[in-house]
Amino acid sequence: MSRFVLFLLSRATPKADREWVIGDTLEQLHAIASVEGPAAASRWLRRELWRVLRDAPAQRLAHVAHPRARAARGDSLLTAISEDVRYALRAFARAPRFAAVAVATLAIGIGANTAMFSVVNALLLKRLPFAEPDSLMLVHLLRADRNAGPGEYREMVWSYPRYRRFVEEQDSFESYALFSGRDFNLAGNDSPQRVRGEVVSDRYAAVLGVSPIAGREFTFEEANTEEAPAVAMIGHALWTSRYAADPDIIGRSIRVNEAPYTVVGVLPPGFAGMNGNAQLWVPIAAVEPSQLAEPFSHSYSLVARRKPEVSAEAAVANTRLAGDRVGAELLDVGPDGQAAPPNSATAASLSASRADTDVRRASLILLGAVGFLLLIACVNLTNLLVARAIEKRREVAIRTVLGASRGRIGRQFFVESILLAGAGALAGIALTPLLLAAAATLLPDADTLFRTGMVPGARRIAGAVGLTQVGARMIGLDAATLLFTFGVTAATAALVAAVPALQASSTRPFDALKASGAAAGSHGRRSVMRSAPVIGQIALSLVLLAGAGLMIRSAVALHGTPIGVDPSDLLTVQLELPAATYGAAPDSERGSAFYSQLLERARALPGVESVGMASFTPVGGAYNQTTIAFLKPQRDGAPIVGVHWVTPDYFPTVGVPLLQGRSFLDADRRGAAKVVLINEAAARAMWPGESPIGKTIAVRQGGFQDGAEIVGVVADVRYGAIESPPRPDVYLPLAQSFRSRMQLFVHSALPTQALAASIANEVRLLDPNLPLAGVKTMDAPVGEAMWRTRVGAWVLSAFGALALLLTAVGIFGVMAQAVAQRTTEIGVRMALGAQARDVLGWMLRRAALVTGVGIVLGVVCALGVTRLIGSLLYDVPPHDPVTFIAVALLLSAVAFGACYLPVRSATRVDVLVALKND
Amino acid sequence: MAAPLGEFEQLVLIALLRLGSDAYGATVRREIEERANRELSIAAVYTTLERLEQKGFVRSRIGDPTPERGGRRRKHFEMLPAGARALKTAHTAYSRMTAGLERRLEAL
Repeated sequence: MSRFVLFLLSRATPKADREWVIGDTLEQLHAIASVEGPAAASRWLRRELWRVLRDAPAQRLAHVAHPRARAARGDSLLTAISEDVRYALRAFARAPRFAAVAVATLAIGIGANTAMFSVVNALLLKRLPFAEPDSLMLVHLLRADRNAGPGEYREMVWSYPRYRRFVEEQDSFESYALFSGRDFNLAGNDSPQRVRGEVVSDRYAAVLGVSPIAGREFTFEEANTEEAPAVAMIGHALWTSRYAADPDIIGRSIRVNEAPYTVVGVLPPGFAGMNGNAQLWVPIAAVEPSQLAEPFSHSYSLVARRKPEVSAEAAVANTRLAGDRVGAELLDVGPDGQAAPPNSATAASLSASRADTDVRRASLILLGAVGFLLLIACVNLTNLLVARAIEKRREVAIRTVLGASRGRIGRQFFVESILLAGAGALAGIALTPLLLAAAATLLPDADTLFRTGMVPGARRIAGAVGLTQVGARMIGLDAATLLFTFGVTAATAALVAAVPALQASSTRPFDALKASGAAAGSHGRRSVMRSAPVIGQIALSLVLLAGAGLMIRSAVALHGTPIGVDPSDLLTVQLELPAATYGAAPDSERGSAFYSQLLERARALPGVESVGMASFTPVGGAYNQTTIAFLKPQRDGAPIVGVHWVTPDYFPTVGVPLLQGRSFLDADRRGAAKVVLINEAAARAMWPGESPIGKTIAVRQGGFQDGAEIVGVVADVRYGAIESPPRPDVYLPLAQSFRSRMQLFVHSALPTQALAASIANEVRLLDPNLPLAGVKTMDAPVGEAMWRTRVGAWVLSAFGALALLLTAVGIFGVMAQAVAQRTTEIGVRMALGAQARDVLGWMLRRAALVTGVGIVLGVVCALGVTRLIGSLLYDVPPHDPVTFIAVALLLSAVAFGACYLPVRSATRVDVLVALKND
Repeated sequence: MAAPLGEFEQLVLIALLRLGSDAYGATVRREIEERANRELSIAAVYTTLERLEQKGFVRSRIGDPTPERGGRRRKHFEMLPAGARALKTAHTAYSRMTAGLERRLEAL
């Protein structure tokens, strides 16, 4: 280390003096080392380097002054650069506004790029937070997809018995575990809480390479045998938040879904399972023991670690073979009673399953957009530096005449632009957490983010949702992001410095020293060159604005899409009745009683107009599907429908009109004849042209396999993505088919806080251990369902606005420059009788040409680029003429304004002043 | 008459006076650091010495290398009569200015 510092010192010393200076330094170093020790000597040496660099410019001045000395001394690079830096800093101090504008412009551009890259990095590139993630794979069950065609398979989740058979047959994985996300009620501590977690098999954390920081994982018996004691693992965040980091947490009993579980392990901070948001893990055998023997109940995902000697391709092939064998053994039975085509299995690496195509595409689009923004900012900065260079051309000329080489002058510009870019980068990095926080407020909470349905036509990658969540937790300023920022900064500095440096070093000194200020090339090819960056800026801005405009139109169209319910004055609350207290579906006396009581009491609250319950929230993105069969009149077919459990008052509460027949009545309760309602889409699809009332269908869920009569038709409601048209739905009366997880809907004009508090109170009176979750007004799910488009519109609009601002500033600057150069000419023209109008016209004509070219170029580029965001748009074509025309007009107006101002002030200039100018 | 000596130039010349033939970059620097209690860089010392040389107040000669300097030679500096005169002028001016004020200066 000391040797390196000595090297730097010698570089910082003029060549002629190096010998004795370094000799003296060594002498001093030894003296100090012998008295105070080598550490003190090293410290002294480093300080000495700093002092020398500080004094370097004065030293060089001493050399320059004496001609003989100048000949004898050489230049030392380090000294020269430190001098350049000091010179640049002094120059910035003299022009603080320029420096501030430059740094701010770069801070925005570089900061936005850094923020965007950190998101893309976390979601798509960074190593997943598991041990050796490259050898981890997701294993999927493959089921024949009859809707898609013969030979087509869909990825599915596993049933426990299939999983056991599969791991016996396979031999490419050394460890494996099942997992599936669940919500749990945690009681006790007087504060019931709903917690996201996972049911898992044994060795789940071990497969992922994670060890508990306290306690242990589940044993094989605990996870796989029914009689094993109920145990649980908790996450670090839950341990600190709910249990105050209790050091005796191991062995403590907690109440999960009203049943006691013993905590056996605490998992490390930052670990949230394969679903990215879990804090509680319980064994399958403890919470769903019946699943251990259900070969046709598919619930669990499978993660496995490849044996080190097995390649990914070999693992996939082996999985397929093993899957075929297991599939042939455990044949599925179709709804028509016939054996279904056998299942198989496949595997995919985690990195391939990291993000759905829509997330991937959106990230890359936004990354491109911020890149554009930075380019626009760079052009502005280049213009600023060029303007300064032109102002200082005399100073540069003098320095050239006095012997400064072209490289020297170019180096000065480069140092300046590196300092500006560096300061901009530091400010941008400081800005990045703020930008990310602002972005986080735009996005809905994590659960909704990943539960809302995909846009129609998009195909979900199995496992992508969980892994995207895992990635989202890793967003932050890490080494890769900083490296990216460094690269972007360097590129920016090079780009920005190139033009003024080239220009300055190629200006002939004597031209610059000439009296006339108009000499600095204002006509011909030179000025076209100077217009090129502005044309580029206008074109890039147009592309960004076009994207923003299209997204805004999509958002507006989405807003206008009818969901099927009236979301005003509607509160919704999620309830889940634990089986331990209330029993399980489909029969539960206590559960049904709880619901009726709650509905009665809620209805009786003052200010409440009506109350109802349903299993799924409109546009919530989640719903069950099942198949139905036509019993009376009998016919073939097993169409897939959405299935919902509702109370009779649900439809009037949320504002869904009844179209035919009747709705559910109190008489439709357990023991009475089973009835169902269907929606319009189902009626149209399955009984076109006739009334479905009175017909009987069998529904394969909720205990309705034996058939139920259709008594009414209700209007369509969108339960999936807001962009997807309503699908056929079947409604079952809650009274005839119990379901433990329901949404309560309350129609009331009361303020939300008060209403939520009253409802919570009623629930607590009925059962103090029942937590409420997801208390929202209906606007929230609607807003969340539109989050993709809304966020896209906001973000692209922000970019577009910034681009517009920067472009306006850029145009203004260039125009002002052009005007300043032509002040004399303007003065002459006006002295010769030209009106202000004529001068305006003459100057603006060129500006109009430049703007026109920029807009045309922008439109052409935008037409190509907006096709890429086609998948993000709703109801708007990527080449929508209205948007393009509006954006072109906007840009023209702004450009015109930016040109007009400097020209107008030029025409006001006193003629004599103009002629004297220079 | 030449321009008066700068403050640091005076210190350097005084150090040369004291050090005599032992005066080279490292010793001058050490002398000033210890007596005047300042933190100097070697560059500052050489800058001043070279400026004094240009003014004709000192002259330099290259000395012998030593092993502890990594075999590098020393550059010795010696005060010339012109420098001595300049120093005397500065000292006289200072003494005259501070005549009678010693007690008060120390009590400051």
